[in-house]
Amino acid sequence: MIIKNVLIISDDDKDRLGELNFVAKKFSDNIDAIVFTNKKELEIDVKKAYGINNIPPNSIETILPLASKYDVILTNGTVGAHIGGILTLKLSASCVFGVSEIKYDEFIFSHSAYGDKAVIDYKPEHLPLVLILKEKYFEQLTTNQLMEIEWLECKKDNIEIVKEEKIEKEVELDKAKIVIGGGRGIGSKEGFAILERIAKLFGGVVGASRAAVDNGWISHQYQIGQSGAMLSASLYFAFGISGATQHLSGIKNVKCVVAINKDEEAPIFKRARYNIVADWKDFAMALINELEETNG
Amino acid sequence: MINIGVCIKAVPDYEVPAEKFYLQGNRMSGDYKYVLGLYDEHALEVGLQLRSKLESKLYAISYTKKEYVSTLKKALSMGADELIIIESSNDDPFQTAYNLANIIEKYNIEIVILGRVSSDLEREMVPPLVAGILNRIYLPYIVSISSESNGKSFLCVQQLDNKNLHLLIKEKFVASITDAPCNLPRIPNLKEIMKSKTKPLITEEEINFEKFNWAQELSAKIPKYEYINETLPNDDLSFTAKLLLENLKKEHCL
Ligand SMILES: Cc1cc2nc3c(=O)[nH]c(=O)nc-3n(C[C@H](O)[C@H](O)[C@H](O)COP(=O)(O)OP(=O)(O)OC[C@H]3O[C@@H](n4cnc5c(N)ncnc54)[C@H](O)[C@@H]3O)c2cc1C
Repeated sequence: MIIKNVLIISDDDKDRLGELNFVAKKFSDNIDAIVFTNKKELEIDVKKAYGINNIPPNSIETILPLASKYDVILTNGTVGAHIGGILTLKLSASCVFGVSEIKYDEFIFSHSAYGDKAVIDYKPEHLPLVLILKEKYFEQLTTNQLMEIEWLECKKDNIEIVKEEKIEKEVELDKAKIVIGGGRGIGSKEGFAILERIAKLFGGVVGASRAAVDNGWISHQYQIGQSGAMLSASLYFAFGISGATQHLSGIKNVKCVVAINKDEEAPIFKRARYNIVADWKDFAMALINELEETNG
Repeated sequence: MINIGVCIKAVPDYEVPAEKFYLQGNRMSGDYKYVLGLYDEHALEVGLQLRSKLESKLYAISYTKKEYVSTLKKALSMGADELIIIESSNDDPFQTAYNLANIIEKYNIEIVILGRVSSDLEREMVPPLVAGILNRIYLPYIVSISSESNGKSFLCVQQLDNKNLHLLIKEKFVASITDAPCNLPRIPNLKEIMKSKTKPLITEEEINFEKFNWAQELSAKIPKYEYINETLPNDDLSFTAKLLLENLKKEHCL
């Protein structure tokens, strides 16, 4: 299939834009972008950057006529979730949602299913094509090119924003170098205080499995996995975590995993570099002693 | 009276460990228990909270194989008023969305709520397609919906990466729900379970809509990952800790 041009649709998050820009370049050099932003300039390697200072649900009518001029429409994140399906329908486009891998020469797009236990390949058969990329599965294109923005107006606001609350993040799990994770095996909030001590000694942060979050021992901000953060740490400790595939997808990019579990059959041991079959608390206390001794 | 529709799906137990996971063709195969989709339960909870504050009726709607009806009945014991089943073994997202949209129109459903993503194929396609087919506004990542001026407008709280938006909407819409402490699904109590046995279960005919050529599905595979593991001795955990720290330093992980 000959792709003449590509349209990126995104918010102004640098990482998300970088990933879309990287994939777009693989298809064509003829790239434009529509970005939801209030910035004056954007670091992006495209021919033309359009800006929308509104929310995606109010912008569909504005985006549609422009999007209809492109062979491939690339999007991701919450913007992708808002507009991907509607664009597919209205443009009678082919589509793949949640793309985690692309075989560019064969025009095959992979999507993981069943909590990352399986990968399904799709081949679109016609253009235009709408692709919603999974975040953090693609390289980022970095550029110093600053693009000026041509602003697009939304005709009518169907939705009114009555309040906007900033979520103050206590932790940036995705950027932390060392993460001390705890799961259902930790058994209580107090258990997480012990993990916090280890995190401090390492200069790292605490993270958790969904089971620990669901039990209310730690807030959702600390969740790692398919519906939580995707780590890029060099070291991850999994204390009392079984290693469900939905959790493992969040530690896919971690360099070294240390697993502590009392069940020697726990699936996390297959993913870990170092396995310790023990009660988590016994090992945690031994580790704290050792770290305190070496740190003086 | 406002009609609320929550679209639900029975999915194979997502707690099945990877070692017990098999594929037959491109789909999960084996004798697994079926459960309600994880996000669908949150969607039901949002719908039920809305119904409790508004003169309304809540329909749970599923495009599904007949054999999963008993799983889907959990929606009735959670509190849905009626369960509508569109029997089918098709899982194409466009056929699913067209059939759901058809029922939503037939039953005059004003507020449509779905889980963010189905817990099996995880394509996240059906909710926006339903909205597109119905020409309604689509709001993903919603965690709660409340009624303003007795159903004339609705306030939806949307949870995005670093902010919560409170959105006021005065027309029919489709929302997909993400999980949050405020929509933790209720556990049906005995009284509700007993009451659910007399609630209506309606079966509707599937309609074969024209096929939407979105992509050809090729093969599915179970990805294989190889990692080098080393089990450390565990008879003296102080020694284990010391050994581990030495190894982590050697491998430049610290
Ligand atoms: C759509 C969807 C999305 C999901 N997203 C996520 C996600 O983002 N992140 C996530 O983590 N999960 C996610 N899950 C849930 C996932 O399937 C698992 O349920 C969850 O990861 C299990 O958490 P866990 O390992 O802490 O608990 P369990 O699986 O219960 O494991 C607890 C482990 O602790 C061990 N243990 C118990 N006591 C001790 C002790 N004293 N010392 C040492 N070890 C002990 C046990 O041997 C066991 O291996 C998702 C599920 C679905 C369906």
